[in-house]
This record gives sequence, structure tokens and C-alpha cells, in this order.
Amino acid sequence: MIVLLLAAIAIVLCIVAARMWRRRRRGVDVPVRLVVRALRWLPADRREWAHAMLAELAYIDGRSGRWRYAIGAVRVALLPPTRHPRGTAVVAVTGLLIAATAAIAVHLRIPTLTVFVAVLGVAVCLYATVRVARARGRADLSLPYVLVAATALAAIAATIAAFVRVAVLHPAATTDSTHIYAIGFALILTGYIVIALRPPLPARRTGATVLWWALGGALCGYAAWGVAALRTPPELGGTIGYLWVVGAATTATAAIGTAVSTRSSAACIRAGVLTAILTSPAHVALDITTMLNQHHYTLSSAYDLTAYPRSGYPDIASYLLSDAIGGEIFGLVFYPIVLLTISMICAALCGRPSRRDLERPINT
Amino acid sequence: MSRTRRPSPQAVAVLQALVAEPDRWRYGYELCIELGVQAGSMYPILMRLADRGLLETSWETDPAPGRPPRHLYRLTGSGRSFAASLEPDAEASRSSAGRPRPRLRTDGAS
Repeated sequence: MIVLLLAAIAIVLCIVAARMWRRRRRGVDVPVRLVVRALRWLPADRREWAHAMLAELAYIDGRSGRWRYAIGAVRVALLPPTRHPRGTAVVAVTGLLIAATAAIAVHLRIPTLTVFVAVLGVAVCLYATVRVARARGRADLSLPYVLVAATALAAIAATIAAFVRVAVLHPAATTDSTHIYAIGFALILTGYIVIALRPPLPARRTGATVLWWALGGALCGYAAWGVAALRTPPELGGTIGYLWVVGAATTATAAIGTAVSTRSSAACIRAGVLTAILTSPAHVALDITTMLNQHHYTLSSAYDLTAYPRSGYPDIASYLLSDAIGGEIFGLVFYPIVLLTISMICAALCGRPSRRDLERPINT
Repeated sequence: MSRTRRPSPQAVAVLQALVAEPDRWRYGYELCIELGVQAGSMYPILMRLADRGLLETSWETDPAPGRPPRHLYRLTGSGRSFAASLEPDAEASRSSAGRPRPRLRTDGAS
């Protein structure tokens, strides 16, 4: 697994390095790339300001000055001046109150999940506040966007529910004295929400195509996993290996389908990433549910047989589930990286190199 | 009903800098350097001033060769009145960030 991860990271780094080299040959440095990327996040009615900031960068000398300016542009893009500060404040305060209430309620019932719920609540509240602050007019709630958002949130809810089941049935398995796993898990899930709820690509048809292919890929994956879970006797590792193959196949299908439909590398990668974001939490939920459905937990490896007596866990189930949970949280990062690699390979093979939109903010 | 909120010290400094030469078009990075304000703070201030009708904007008509035209700023009539109505307490904010700034290329500046 580690070899696969390193290979995936190496491929991604090679592709990124090749792109950077091409851009450098064209005289485009990293601050320009950063500013172009960041300013694309600005709302449409602030687009003139994006052009203004990018034009100004062409007159700034010195690497440090350009970097400082670029970082400032990122800050402006993330938090542009809001036109309705009162609504933003209401969302922030309400979100924090909900997060605090949820954390207190969880602390009383399932204390091992307190930190996770608190961090998740604050992070989601922060995200909602930024979304409201950046909102301009009515949101574009197209059917595929709503379906993708609902599917993503349902998959994330299923993952959280699976972890809650573990915490209720085997509290020792979710004990985390350092809180590293709890915080990491909460931030990862927030990242999933942010990516899943990103507004579609600006070109209406391309944006919808990406969403439909990603949704189709994810639903095919769910169906295949459901069949596999029903046909395979519940045991540790029973369906896990199979889940990976299905996830990779559905991601590649969605990416290739999008590339063929749109002829766009960017759309192809986006469809692959979105498929990964939709499938990964469901993958984790199914994994944990499969493990919880076991009736007998036994230690099978020599390492576990040696380590368990000294681990301090009250029973074998808690020991194995704790280990599995750590692996699943790691997988929520690892799995999309591998699927992103697959998407990038599909984009390189099937998509047309997207017209580098460096010029877009100036020329459009 | 719109509520007039007192601008931040940095916004006051920007207003004072613009009202010092009311007819001259200024550009963003020039103001950043003059006031020691980072771009991440300067542009939101300029956006808010423009939203409130205190700042007018324009694009450079004669940019430096091979470079894009810059966005230029100066106060509107109401902006000048508003800036004049503020107490000149911008000195504190002007001097608050007096670090050395990167050199600005001024060729082609209006």
C-alpha cells in the first residue's frame, strides 16, 4: 500500500513538475500562477478587481515583493469584502452555537468523539461563513449540483454514523488521547465537503457534464460495493480489496467519459476528483460496517498476537477496530490521491490540454 | 437606510493619501508602498470605497510596452467630502507599517 501511495505521489509530482517547467519556459512564474488561480475564486462582480490585481503584478520587481503581493491576492480571493455583513455574522454565530451544542451533547453521550465533533462543527461553520460572505445573488442550484451535493453529504453522514457506531459499541476503539486522529478526521471531512460543494465549472454544459459523470461513477461504485458486501461473509478484509478496484474503475470511467464528452483535461480531472470525493467516504462507511458486523474478532498476525497484550485495549475487537479506524482515516487522504493520479493519467491520454487560462483574467 | 460606519485606520490612511492629490490617478501597489499596507488589505479597502461610491476607477490608457494596463483610482466628489470630514488621525496608521518595501518599477506609470 505504501509503495502504491509513493508511486501515486511520484506520478502527480512528475506531472506537476512538467507543467511548471512548461510555464517557466513561457516566462510565467509561480506568483503569477498563484494570483491567476486565486483570483478566479473571486465572485463574478469582482472580476474587474481580479484583472486589476493581476495587471499590477506585472509591474512588481523582486521575488519577495511578488510573493508578498501574490499571498495578498490569495487573501483577497478567499475573503473578499462582503456586501451583506449582517447575514455573514448571523451564519457565523448560529453555526458556532450549533457546533457548541453538538459538542456538549456528544460529550455527555459519547465522550470519545467530543473533539472530533467540536472541530468538525467549527470547521464547517467557518466554511459556511466564507460561502455566505462570498455569495452574490442567488446560488446556481442546478439538478446535477444538488444531486452531487446530497450524495456527498449522505456519504459523509454514513461515515460519521459508522464511526459513532464504533464509539458506542466499542468506546475504547475511539479513544484518542492525543486528539490527532480526531482533529485530522474532522478536517479531512470538511475538506471533502468543500470540494464536493464547489460551484460547477463556469461553462454550463461542461460543468453539468462533470457532475453527471461523477455522480454516475459514484452510484455505479455504490451498487457494486453493495452487491459485494451482501455476497461476501463479514470478516476483516473481506470486501476491502474489492472496494479499491471498483473505486479505481469508476473513477477512470467518469474521467474518461468526461474527457470524451468535453475534450477538456481540466473537466476530466475534476470529474475524477469528484468521483473520488463521492466514493471515499462511502468506502470507509462500508468497510467499518463490515468490520462491525463480525461476530468474532481474532488476532491473525504474529505482530498483533505480540502487541495486543501490551496495548492496553480491554478486548480484541477494540484493538482491531482502533487500528482499522486509523487506517481508514489515512485512507481518506490516500485513496483520493491514487484516484487523482488515475484521473490525471486519463486526462493526459484522453483530454485536450486545456488552454492555459493564464490570459483569461486579463483578456475576458 | 444605510448606516455610515467609521472606516478602519488603514482605510482612513488610504482616503487621506488619495485626498492629498485629489486629481491624480493612483494605482494600487503605489498606495501599498506609500502607506506600508499589504495588497491583501489594500484591495478590500479600495473595493469597499468603490462600492460606497467614494472611489472612481479607470484603466490606464497608455501602459508600458509589453505590460497590461493598470487599474487607477481617485476619489469621487463625495469621496473627497467624506475624506475631508474625517479627522486626520491617519498619521498613526501611516507610520504603523514603515518597513522597507520592495522596489516598484515605475516605468509607464501615469
